[in-house]
Amino acid sequence: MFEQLLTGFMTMSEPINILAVFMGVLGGMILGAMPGLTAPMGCALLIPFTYSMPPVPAISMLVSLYCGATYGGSISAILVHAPGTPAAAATTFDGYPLAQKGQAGKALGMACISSFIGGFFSVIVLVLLAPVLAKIAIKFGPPEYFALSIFGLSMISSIGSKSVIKNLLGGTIGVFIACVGMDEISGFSRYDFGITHLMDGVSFIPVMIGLFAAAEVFRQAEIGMRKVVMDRKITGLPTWKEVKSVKTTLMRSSLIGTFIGILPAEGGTVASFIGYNEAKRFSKNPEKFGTGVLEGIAGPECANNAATGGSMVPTMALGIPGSGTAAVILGALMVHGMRPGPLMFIQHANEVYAVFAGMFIANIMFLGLGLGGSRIFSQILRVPNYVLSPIILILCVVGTYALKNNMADVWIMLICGIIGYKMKAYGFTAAPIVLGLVLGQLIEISLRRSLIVFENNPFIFFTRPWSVALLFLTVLGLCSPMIRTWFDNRGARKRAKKNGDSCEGTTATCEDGLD
Amino acid sequence: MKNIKWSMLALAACGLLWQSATTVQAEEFPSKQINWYIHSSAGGGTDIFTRTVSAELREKLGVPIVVSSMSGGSGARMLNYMMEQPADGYTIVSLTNSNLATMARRNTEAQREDLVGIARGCYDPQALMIAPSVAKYKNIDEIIAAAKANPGKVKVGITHVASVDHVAAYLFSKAAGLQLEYVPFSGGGEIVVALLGGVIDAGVLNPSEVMGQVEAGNLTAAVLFVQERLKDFPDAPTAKELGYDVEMNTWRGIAVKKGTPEPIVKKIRDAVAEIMQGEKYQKYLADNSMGPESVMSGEQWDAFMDAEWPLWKEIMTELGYRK
Repeated sequence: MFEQLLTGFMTMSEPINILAVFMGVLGGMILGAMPGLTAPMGCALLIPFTYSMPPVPAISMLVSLYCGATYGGSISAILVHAPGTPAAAATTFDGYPLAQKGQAGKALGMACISSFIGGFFSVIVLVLLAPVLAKIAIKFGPPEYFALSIFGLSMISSIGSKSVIKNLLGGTIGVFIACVGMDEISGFSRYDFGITHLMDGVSFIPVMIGLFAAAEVFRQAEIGMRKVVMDRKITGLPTWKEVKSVKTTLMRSSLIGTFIGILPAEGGTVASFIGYNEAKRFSKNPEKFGTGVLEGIAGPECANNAATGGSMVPTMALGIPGSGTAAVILGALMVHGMRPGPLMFIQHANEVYAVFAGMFIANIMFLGLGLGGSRIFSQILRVPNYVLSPIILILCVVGTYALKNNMADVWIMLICGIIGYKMKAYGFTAAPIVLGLVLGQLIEISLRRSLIVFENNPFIFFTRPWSVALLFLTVLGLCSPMIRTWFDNRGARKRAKKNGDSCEGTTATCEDGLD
Repeated sequence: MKNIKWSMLALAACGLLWQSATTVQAEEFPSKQINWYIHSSAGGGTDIFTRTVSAELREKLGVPIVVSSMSGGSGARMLNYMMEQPADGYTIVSLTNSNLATMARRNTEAQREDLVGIARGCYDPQALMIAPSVAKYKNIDEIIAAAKANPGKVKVGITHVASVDHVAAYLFSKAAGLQLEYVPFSGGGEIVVALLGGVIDAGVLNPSEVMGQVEAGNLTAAVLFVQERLKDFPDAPTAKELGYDVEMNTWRGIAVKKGTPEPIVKKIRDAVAEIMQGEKYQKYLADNSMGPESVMSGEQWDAFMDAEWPLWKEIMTELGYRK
């Protein structure tokens, strides 16, 4: 295997291949940073150009574009609250506040380093374990996806605003929006009011751009021209010590991202939300999340890039796409005469390992470009608000339209922008709605599919091991605040006892006694 | 009398003028950009097919051809848009049988009769596939026996309801007198996962999409919905061999709106036919595991669609999807 990888690196060292990777990464970063322009779209547009290329540079370029775009999404998420890709939505939670505090360089640097570590880790896993891990993907039937989406949905209680009720309301709205359009099981369209545009449902990306980017533009317009982020030193990168301080988050998110990436129906978006939520759960100061903490950037960014390597696992080893972009790459592999599947690692070993080498190089390249470029990117914040905001809004409109060449998406985006802007005044945040929308469809369809397949047996969710494990994690996650409080109280009681005080019973009485 | 004479003459003159106008139109065609629409999103099979043909057509006709994805309602949006455009050959659409399904369901105002075929480019065989190592039923005889013994207990994976794979499975079950349980998935990849995981008993797939798994011996065809056996599955019978006259496979073609002047249709047909016989296109077919018989001239394809169209209307009515 290492020999093959070495041969792969040798192949990649040819100038044309390096150039292909570089073009892919650079193109991906630009594409990723533009709200609405996504990695699948970029890859699809590139495929015709790769027809005349040999397979190695062609596939490496597409894969590099995927890596670059997944990182690139964080740039606009941090600087202007416009997640460039859906997977960068969670990066806005802490990235944007940090940039607003005048530390854009730190936020961008953290995002870049986290993306690199997540991406690099996932490629190592891909090289070493792809055929083994692909078997996990097969173990995931409809009940497991249902359990996973329940787990994902349980994050609504903790992601977003401080009020659990408001978060739950937001999540419900998101799930409801997900119901609009074609019901995949019955084949009939719901809540479309006879509008053809709604027959396919409300797409996720326009809603996300509206709630995050457009709403922020409107908010900035309200603040007016007064706000200037100019004088402070905004370009400083994070220090080594700061990077080291988030190393457990990075490790955790690398694992989460790779795992979620391997599952065929899930990609970077869910990975980044889970990465963020777990970073918050295990943090020493969860209450600071949302105000611009580095862990809150490292968590999602590391996870979404870890999903890139992860999603290539089933793509290469099973011939089943691990994400939307991977689906397009799968098509490209077939165009170039490779048949992804269990035998690909034998039949096309040279090409496969060269592509893996290309992914390693792509990750290193965007690390260099990202860290080197963060100084330049941060300059965006020096642009006065009255110039920047209209540009962002135009990019939102163009990007949303480009998705499907559909004006209806633009209207959805603008309406969501207004809702997102108004909503904030009442203490709601966008995250639960987005999460509900992402998971709503999956949760419904996997539940109904499970019931069809297992003949309406509701206990199926409690008899399959992966499903049980995920449901158990959900319960644990929901109860963890209570468990934590209980432990804290017990700790306090014990300490009180150790102090030699004679008082017993509840902590409250103890404290009274100490007084 | 005189009046009638004059008006006859005027009418004849008008006719002549119109005739010459269309000839001129055809001679001039194409004089501006051609817009080509597809109903699916970028990167899918239809997109790649369209881009393969359009790249060469651009050179042949010498005008810009812009391919845009107009997804929505499984072709409804694209077809509605086409209906609003003049029938002048400057609006081309890629058509698949999913669009035929959309028309049969009356989700669009367009009907089969509103389209004229330019050429068929892809004919991708469909098969009922199984995962031999995990499947309960190892061949088509066992599947049929099981479905007869326990109606509605054999689970067959399909991509979306009312799709071409749903219809293929339905036609087969109807011909064989079976009652199957259909499990809709969102794509072929999900069906493969469900097959390998033993969640479903069989699934309708295009073998070309899963050749990697076939070569590894993880998947095989139980029955084919084409007329002739395929060389990749020497042991898999066709439905016809089993005595069920079922032929339902994925096709893609190129069409324009009805009413487009005959000379313009001919011009596009000739150019596309030449491209599809070319080396580049044949290589594309081979790379995607499709045979040269995929290619059909416009006339042939129109006849082919005329034969398939009533079947779609009938099935959509039977399944309760026709409005």
